Amino acid sequence: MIRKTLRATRDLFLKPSVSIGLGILVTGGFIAGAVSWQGFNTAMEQTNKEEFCLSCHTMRDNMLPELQKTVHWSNRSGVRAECQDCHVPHEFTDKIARKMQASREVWGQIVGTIGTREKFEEHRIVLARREWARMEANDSRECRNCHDYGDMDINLMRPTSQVAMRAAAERDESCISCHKGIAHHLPDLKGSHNPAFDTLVSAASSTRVQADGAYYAVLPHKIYADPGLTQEIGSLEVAAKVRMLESNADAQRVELDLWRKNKGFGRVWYSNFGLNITSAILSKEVSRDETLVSVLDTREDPATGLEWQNVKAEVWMPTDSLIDSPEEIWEIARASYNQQCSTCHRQPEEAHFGANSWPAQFGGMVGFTSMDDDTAKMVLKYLQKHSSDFIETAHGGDPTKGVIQSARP
Amino acid sequence: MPDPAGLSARDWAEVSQQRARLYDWFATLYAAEIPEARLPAYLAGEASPVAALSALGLGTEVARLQAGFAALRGLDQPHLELAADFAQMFLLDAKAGALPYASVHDGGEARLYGPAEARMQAFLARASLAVQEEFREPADHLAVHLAVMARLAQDQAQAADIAGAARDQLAFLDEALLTWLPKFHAASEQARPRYDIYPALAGLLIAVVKLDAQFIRELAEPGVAVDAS
Amino acid sequence: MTLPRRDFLKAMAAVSGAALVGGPGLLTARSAQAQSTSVEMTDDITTWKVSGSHFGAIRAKVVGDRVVEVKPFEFDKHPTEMIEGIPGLIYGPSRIRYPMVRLDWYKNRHKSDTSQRGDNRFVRVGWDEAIDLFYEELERVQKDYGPWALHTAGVGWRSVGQMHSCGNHMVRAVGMHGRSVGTIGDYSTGAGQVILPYILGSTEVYSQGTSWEVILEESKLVVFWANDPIKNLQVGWNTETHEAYAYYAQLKDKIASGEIRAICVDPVRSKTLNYLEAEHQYINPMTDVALMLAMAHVLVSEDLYDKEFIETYALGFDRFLPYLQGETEDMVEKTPEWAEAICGVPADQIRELARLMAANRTQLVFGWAVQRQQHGEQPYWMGAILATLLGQIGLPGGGISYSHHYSSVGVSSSGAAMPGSFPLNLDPGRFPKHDNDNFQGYSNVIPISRAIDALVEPGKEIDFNGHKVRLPPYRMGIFTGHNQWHRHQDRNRMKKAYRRLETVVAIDYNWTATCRFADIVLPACTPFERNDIDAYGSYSNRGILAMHKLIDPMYNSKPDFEIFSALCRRFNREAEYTRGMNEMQWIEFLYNECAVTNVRNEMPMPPFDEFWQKGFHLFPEGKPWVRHASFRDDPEVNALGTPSGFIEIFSRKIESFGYDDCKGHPIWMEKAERSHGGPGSDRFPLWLQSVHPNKRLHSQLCESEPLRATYAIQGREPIYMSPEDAAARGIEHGDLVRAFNDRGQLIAGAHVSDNFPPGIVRIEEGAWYGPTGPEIGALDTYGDPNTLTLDIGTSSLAQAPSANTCIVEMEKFLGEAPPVTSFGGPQEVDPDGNPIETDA
Repeated sequence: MIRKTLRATRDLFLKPSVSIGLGILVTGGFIAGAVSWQGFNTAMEQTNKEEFCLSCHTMRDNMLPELQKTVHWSNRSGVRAECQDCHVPHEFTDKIARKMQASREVWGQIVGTIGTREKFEEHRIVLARREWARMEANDSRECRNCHDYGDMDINLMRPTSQVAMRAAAERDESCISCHKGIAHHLPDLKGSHNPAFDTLVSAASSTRVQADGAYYAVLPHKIYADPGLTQEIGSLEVAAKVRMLESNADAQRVELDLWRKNKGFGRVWYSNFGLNITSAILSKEVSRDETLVSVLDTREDPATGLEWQNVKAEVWMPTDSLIDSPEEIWEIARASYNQQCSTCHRQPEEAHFGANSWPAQFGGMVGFTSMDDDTAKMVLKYLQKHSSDFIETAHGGDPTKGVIQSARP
Repeated sequence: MPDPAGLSARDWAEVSQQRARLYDWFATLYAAEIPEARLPAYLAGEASPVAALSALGLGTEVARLQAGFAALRGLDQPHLELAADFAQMFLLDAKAGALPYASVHDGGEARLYGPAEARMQAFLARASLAVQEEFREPADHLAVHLAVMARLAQDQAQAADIAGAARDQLAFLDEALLTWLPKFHAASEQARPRYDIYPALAGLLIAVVKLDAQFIRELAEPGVAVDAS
Repeated sequence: MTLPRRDFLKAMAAVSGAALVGGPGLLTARSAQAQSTSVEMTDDITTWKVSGSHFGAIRAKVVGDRVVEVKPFEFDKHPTEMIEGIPGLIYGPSRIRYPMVRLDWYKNRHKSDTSQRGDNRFVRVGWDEAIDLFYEELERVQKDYGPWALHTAGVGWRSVGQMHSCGNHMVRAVGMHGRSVGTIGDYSTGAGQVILPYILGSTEVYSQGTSWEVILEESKLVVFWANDPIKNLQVGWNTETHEAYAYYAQLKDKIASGEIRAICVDPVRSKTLNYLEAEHQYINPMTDVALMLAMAHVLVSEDLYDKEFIETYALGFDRFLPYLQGETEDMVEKTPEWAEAICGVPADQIRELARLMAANRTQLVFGWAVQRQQHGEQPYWMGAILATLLGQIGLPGGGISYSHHYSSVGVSSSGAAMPGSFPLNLDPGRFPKHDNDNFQGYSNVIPISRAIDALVEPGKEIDFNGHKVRLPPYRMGIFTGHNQWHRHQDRNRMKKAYRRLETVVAIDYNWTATCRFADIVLPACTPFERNDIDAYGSYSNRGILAMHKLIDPMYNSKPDFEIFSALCRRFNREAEYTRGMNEMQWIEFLYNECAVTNVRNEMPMPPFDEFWQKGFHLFPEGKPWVRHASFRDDPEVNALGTPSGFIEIFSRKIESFGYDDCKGHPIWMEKAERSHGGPGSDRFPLWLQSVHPNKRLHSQLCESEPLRATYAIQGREPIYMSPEDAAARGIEHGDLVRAFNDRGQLIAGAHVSDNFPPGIVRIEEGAWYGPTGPEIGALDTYGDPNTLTLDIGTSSLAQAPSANTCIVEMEKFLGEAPPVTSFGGPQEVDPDGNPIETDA
C-alpha cells in the first residue's frame, strides 16, 4: 500500500503529464514549506513579485510591452499596477489557490505550450477566458482594490464615457464586463474583431439554456448534423432565433423554424416570410435533403412572385453561443450604426426603409465604413429588424420621417 | 540753416504735422466704418477739413463730399446706411466695390496678397513697423499706406535734411501709392454705392495726394520743373 | 493741376484748426520678431508642407506667412492643373473677410424686405454679434414655429478634411439646439441611387467597381455610355490620387493596338473619346432608352440573349418582353426602325451594336449626367436590363458600372480603414435643447432638389419612392458646404421662392451667389488655414494624408469648428459639442481610431507624431476584384439587395406604387421638352447640356481668375456649339452670345467646336451666377446654365434634378454687354465686348 503510494508519488515527480505533473511546483513548495512555514511565505513573496512573473520571457516579451502602452502602466498620477495587483488575489488563501492554477501557466511555459509568440497568441484566448472568468467570479475584486465607483468623479470623464459609467455605477457592474483588453491585447475572437462582441460572448457563456426556450445566436456559428460537431452542414447568422431542444456539455441541439425561397438550392433561410433577413445558410448537400429539412407551408410572395416555403430543421451547435434576448445585440449594433454611418451624412432612421430595402442601401455604403464583416452583418440585421416592416412609428410607418442629411454630391 | 529750396525748418515742421493729420484723416475713413457716435459731426460738416481742402483748390470735390453726407441727414440709422456703403465698396468681393488694396489694382491678375503686399510687408519690417493685430487686413491696404505717410510726415517733421526727407516721402508716394491710386479712384467711381461719400472721398484723396506729391517733389528736386499732371 | 507752394502751405495751415478725428493708430512698433518657427523650406518639395484637396494632394511652400507655391504631391503621377487654382482660392478677391449681415435684415430682422436679397447691401459685424443674431434666430424659429420651419440644407462637396467636415459641424451644433428639416438624396445621382436598389440591389453609383486590371485583361469591348471619365476623374470626394489615369493610358494603348474596342455613346465628342481615340456613336439627346430598347429587341429577336443567366439570376423578363414586342402600353414594337426615328442612330447600326456586345466580353460604363434628366431612372434601369440580357454581369470585364468615372473607382482598394470624421450626430443619450419633434404633419426629410418646391408650394404633398412627402414651408435656412445658387435649377423660380424665407444663414469662404442672397454671412476659413486629416483615395484607400495648416486664418475668418463652438456656447453646451478636445486632439483621435482597426488587420501605422511630421502614410496596393462576381457565384447566399434578392427586370414593388412616370419596367416616355424633333424644339431647337466642368469642381474654383483665364471667353463662361449652329446664327468663335428660353437668359462666350454636332450646346455647370440685378428675369452676365434649366423632379419615384432636360435658343449678343457681376472688378466693355482699360 505504502509502496504504491510511494510509486505514485515518485511518478508524480518524475513523469509529469500536463494535468497532474503541474502540481510539482506548488506541491514541491508545500512539501518544502511543510517543514518551514517561513520558507513557504518566502516562496509566496518571491512568486508574488513582478520580477518573478517577468522572469519567463513569454510574460516579459508579450505581456509587459502590451501593459506598458496602457494607462495601468503610465499615467498622469504615477500610480502603476504590477502584475500581481490584478492577477493575484489579495486575500491570502485565494492567493494560494491562484498559484495552484497559475502553476499550469508556468508549466505551459516550461513545456512550450506558450513558448513562442505564435503559440502564445493562439493560446491567448484560453488564458484570457480563464482570467475573465476568474474576475467575473470574484466581481472584479482586484480592480476594486484600487477603483471604487463611490470615489469616481463621473463628470471628469468624456461625455460618451459618462453615459456608460453612470449606468455601470448604478448597477455596481463588475468592471471586467466591459473593460476587457484594458491592460493587454485582446485575443483574436476567431473572426470577430469588434471588441464589443466580447460582451456578447460573455453574456452567452453565462446564459443557462432551457429546453423549449427561444434563444438567439450572439455570433455567426457553424451548425452540424451530429452532437460531436464533426459534420458541418451550414451556419447560423448573428441574432438568429432558435428553439432549444437539448443541451449537453459540449453541444446543443436546436430547432430552426424559418422561411426560404423555393428557387435553386433554397439554402438561404430567412427569419420572416417575404423578408430577406438571413438567419441560416445550409450547405448545398443538405438543403434539399428531406430527411433533414421539412417543408411545412408554401406561399407566393406577391411582392416578387417568388414561392416561399416555411422550413424546419434540427441542428447541432456549440454551447455558450446563445442568449435569451436579442436586445444586447441590438444595442451594440445601434451604437455601431450611429457612429459608423454618420461620417458623411446623417444616418437614416431605421424605419426609413423596409427590411428588403436595407440590403441595397447598406451594401452601397458599407464600403465607406471600417466595419468588419461580422459587425456589418449584425448592423444590417439590426436595421432590417427595426425597419418599417417591424416598427409602427408615431408617423404610422412612413419612412420619410427619418432624418437624413446627405453630404454626398 | 535755411533749406536751399527755401523752406524754413519751422515751416517744414508745421506743414509736416498738418500733412500727417490730413493723411491720418483719410486713413481713418478707409480703415473702418464711421462709428455711430461720430457720424453726426460729419453730417454737420464739422469733421472734415473743409477749409483746407477748399483752399487747396478742391472746392468741387469737397462740395461733392458734403453733398454726400447731406443726403444721409434725416435717414433712419444713417450710420448703418453708410456702413453698408463701406461694406459694398471695401469689404465684399470686387464685384460691386473698389477693393482698397494695391495688389488688386497693380495690373496683371486682380488678386489679393500680390507682390505689392509683399513689398509693403518688407517695407514695414525694415521700418520696424507693424500693423495692429486687430486690423486683419493685408499690408497693402490703402489705410496702411496712408497711415505710413502720416507717420513719415510726423517722424520727419524735425528732419535736418529736408530735401532728403522729401525724397523719402516722394519715393513712397510715387512708388507705393500713385502706382495704383488712379485705378482705385476709377473703380470707386464705377462702384455706384447708394450714397456718394466714398466715391467723392476717393476723388478728394487722389487730388490731395497728387498735390502733396507735387509739393514734396519740389522740395526733393529743387529747380526741376514741376509736371502739370 | 499746379499749386504754388505758398498756397499749399496756407491751405494746409487750415488743417490745424480743423476738428479732425484720427482713429486708433494702425501702425505700431514692431516687436523683436519671433521669426517663423517653421522649418526652412528649400527647393526640395519634400521639405514643403503637405495638404490635400478634391483636386489632388499638394506640397505647399510657405515663406514667412505666405503660401508662395503649390506643387502636386510627389506620389500623384497624374496631377491636374486645377491645383494651380489653390493660391487664388486662398488669396482671391472673392474671400469673405468678415461676418456680414444684410442691412435691411439687420434693421428689420425676419420682417425684412426679402426682395432685396442679392442687392449687396451688407454691414460688417463682429463675431459675437453675428453668432448672437444666428442664435436668436434659431431660438425664435424653434419657439414661434417649430422644427418644421428650420431647414438645414443638404451639404454638397464641401472641402476635404475629415475633422473639419463643415456639414458635420453645422448639423451637430444646430442639432444640439433643435430639430430641423433635412434632405435625402443629392444633386449628382438623385435618380440613380433611388432606382438601382430595386433593380440591382445596391445604390451602385457610389460603389467600387471591377478593377481596371481585370477590365484591361478581359474586356474586348468597353462602352462609355454618356460618360466622360477623363474629364471627371480630376476630382475626388476625398483627396484624389488620380491613380485611375494610369489605367486609361493603358486602355488607350490597347485601343490603338486593336486589343480592345471602345465606343462612346454620346451626343458629343467627349474629352474621353478624343483622348482614347475611341469610336463615337452619336445619339440624339435624351433618347438613350429608345436606343437600348431597340438593342434589347435585337438581342431577343436574334436569340443572342443569355436565357440561362436570366433564368438563374433575374426575375420579371416575362413581364417586360410583351412591352418590347409591342403588346402592351403604347402597343409599338421596339424595333431598330422605330428607335432610329427617335434616337437618330440608323437601324442597321443599332443591330451591329447589339450583336457586337453579345459577341464580346463587354464592359458597360455609365456616367451620371444621363440620369440628370426627366425620367432619369429609365436609362439606368434599361442599362441594367441590357447587361442582364448579355448575361455577363459578374464576369471579369463584363457587366455594368455606374461609377468608374468617379474618384478613381476601379483602382483596387488596399483594404485599409480610413479616418472617421467629426461626429455629425449628438452624443448618445443627449437631446436637443428644444426637444420638439412635432413637425405638424409635414415631412422632416424632403428630397433634396424639391427644396425650392417647398417654398413655392408650401404644404404640397408629393410622391417619393413609394411614400408621400408633405413639403414643409420652412422659414429659415442654413447653407454650408455647398452653393445652392449654383446647383439648383431654374434660377428665376428660385429667386422668387427665396423671398418666402425669413432668415438665410450662409457659411462659406467665398462670396458665392448663395452668400450674396443670404442675410447672415459667416466667413469660414479655407482648408489651408487649419490642420486636418484626410483619406487619400476614396476607393483605393491608398493612404492617410495629413493636411498641415499652411497659414493662419485670414482676415476675420474662422474654422467652422470655432464658429459652431461659439454657437453652442450660447446655450452652454460647448464642452459637449467639442467633447473637450481641440483641433489637434481630434485629429489624433481620428487617426488612432482607424489605426486600431488597421493594426488588427495587419496594416500597421506609425505613431501619430511620426505620421504628422512626415505628412502621410501609404498602404499597399489592393487586390483586383470583380463587381457582382460573388452574386454570380452564389445568387442565394450572396443575394442582391433587391426585394427578391435577384436582378429585377420587372419590379413589382415599383409597379405597386402606381406611378405614371415610373412603372414596373422601363418605358420610353417623351420628355416635357426635347430637341431634335421633340416637344418645344420648334421654338427652342438647341439642347443645353450642363455637364460637370473641366476645370472646376462644380462651382469651386470658378472664382480663380488665373484658371478662368484659360477657358473663359471675353470673361464669360463658354457656350460650346457646333460650327453649323454658329454659322446659321452669324456667330463666330469668341463672340458674346445670349442664350435664352422662357425661363431665363444669360450671356456666354461662343466656343465653336467640331466636338459638338448640330442642335447641341454645352455650358458647364458651376458657372457663378451674376445677374444684372435682383429682379426676376435679370440677364445673367457670366453664363450660369441653371438660369435656363427646368426645375421638376425626374419622376414620382426619385424626385431628382432634371437639369439636362432643357432646350434653348441663342443669338449673337449685339450692343454693349453688361459687365460680369459674379466676381472681379466691374469691368466696362466696349460694343465689341472688349474690356476697357480704366486709367485716371
